[in-house]
Amino acid sequence: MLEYDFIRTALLGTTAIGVVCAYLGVYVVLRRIVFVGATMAQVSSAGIALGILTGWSPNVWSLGLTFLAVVFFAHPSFGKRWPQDATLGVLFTVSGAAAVLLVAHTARGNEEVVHLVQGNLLAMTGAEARWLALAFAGILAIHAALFKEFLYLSFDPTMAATQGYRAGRWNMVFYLLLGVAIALAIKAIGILLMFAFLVIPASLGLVVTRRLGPAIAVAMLSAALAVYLGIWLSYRYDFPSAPMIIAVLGGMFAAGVAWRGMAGARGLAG
Amino acid sequence: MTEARPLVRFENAAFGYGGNPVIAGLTFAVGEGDFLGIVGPNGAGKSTILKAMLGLLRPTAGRVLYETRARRDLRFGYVPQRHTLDHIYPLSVRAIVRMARYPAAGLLRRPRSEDERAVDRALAAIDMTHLADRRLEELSGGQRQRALIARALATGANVLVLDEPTDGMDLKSTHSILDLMRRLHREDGLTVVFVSHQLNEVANYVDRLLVIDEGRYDWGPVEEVLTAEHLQRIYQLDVVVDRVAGSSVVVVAR
Repeated sequence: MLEYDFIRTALLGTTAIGVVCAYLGVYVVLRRIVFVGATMAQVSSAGIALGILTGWSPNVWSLGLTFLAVVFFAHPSFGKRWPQDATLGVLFTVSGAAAVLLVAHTARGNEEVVHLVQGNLLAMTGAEARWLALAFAGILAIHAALFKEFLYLSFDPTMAATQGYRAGRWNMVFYLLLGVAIALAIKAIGILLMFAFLVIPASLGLVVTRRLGPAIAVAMLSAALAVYLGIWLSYRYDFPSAPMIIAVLGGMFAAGVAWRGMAGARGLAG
Repeated sequence: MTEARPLVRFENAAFGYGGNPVIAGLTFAVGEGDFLGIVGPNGAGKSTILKAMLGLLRPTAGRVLYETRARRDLRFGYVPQRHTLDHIYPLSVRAIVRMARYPAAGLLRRPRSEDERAVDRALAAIDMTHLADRRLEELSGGQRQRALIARALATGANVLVLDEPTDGMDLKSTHSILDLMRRLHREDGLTVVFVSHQLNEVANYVDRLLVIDEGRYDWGPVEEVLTAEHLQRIYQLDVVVDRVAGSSVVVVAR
């Protein structure tokens, strides 16, 4: 399969996105903001749809709307006056519907909707894959450099604030990096796969290990492995690649949960 | 009791959230070397007072003042309510205590060997060295509380501020934590401020009390506040203060 340029390109771009989203996903799962991630993805997809409709840079529209969502989510009053889940539910459904409605009357209406949801990673160009690899490496580098700050502010923002950290600003930086990653990923691989990368590898890492470092390592490695296996299976058996990668991730997670259950029963957990 | 040099003074301070007042007209001070218990029912504003003391909440009226000279030397070690921390985080006790050293390590830098030594000292001070590699979820309630106290100590704090440190604990763990706080106060010279809703538990350990209920409050040395007259005014109940086996006991008369 590796003799094909378009497959090598898809592997490069999707692996970069998958590995970095898996890293970010560990924070998303630990901070219990999975639904925030899902809603950001929907808002971002509405931005892409707006770009398709207006014919002007879907990436810019997507980043712009995601930025607005970030400002909203990172605001200290978010979730205080009205239940957070309800607000997210409203945004999630309205954004999702907006994305469908905005592209419904474009030249390739239904096809665009399918691409937004399922992605079309095999259509990635070489330049696009290299740009994505660079952008996601940058996001990972910034996040890794600020690892201890993000960890502290995620785990105990009040204590961190007593030591001089400005929790609101750090929260904004955290959500901005997450938002940029989501916005860039969706355009290339679709909502479904991006969200799967954000949740499943991190959950697997946290299920099969009992320390943060190994959990992050398992998450990133499993995402990379799932990309390769998923694309190979989709090539070998002629299935769409994004759902196949998600199926592989789902299988890995199920195996991880089963292993954890058996290890726990035999007293091997840890 | 001689008056200690005040570190923090609340002057006619009022606090609230989103336009809803929690407490108003509060005037009291925390002195250097104080062992102060803040007691009141849930919702009385105890944690609000702690947040204001830590500088995390501004008064809606009045002032919270830090002594000019003391402010420079004032290092708060905050111990949150342990149930506010999420046990989903796969972190060892050592990793959690190490967090207190992150500001000292600086941005983009890993904690240095001196930070690790501060972590070791904090763990040793509360007899947690042997549990350093355990995860928070593997510890009992009392051990978790000790881990959080160790983290506060690792900041190099000279004022320990604890939010409901004994909430939900059994009798043995409760007194173990209170004994630890008293030891840190007496032997290490730390100023200790903590909140609780258990007046009987707190009154026999601390030197000073701030008792609040439904906007009424009283503050002062324990022997002054812990009288039937004072408590009846605050709680608006027929309260009796008695001595049992050398300890003060507050009960409602029947």
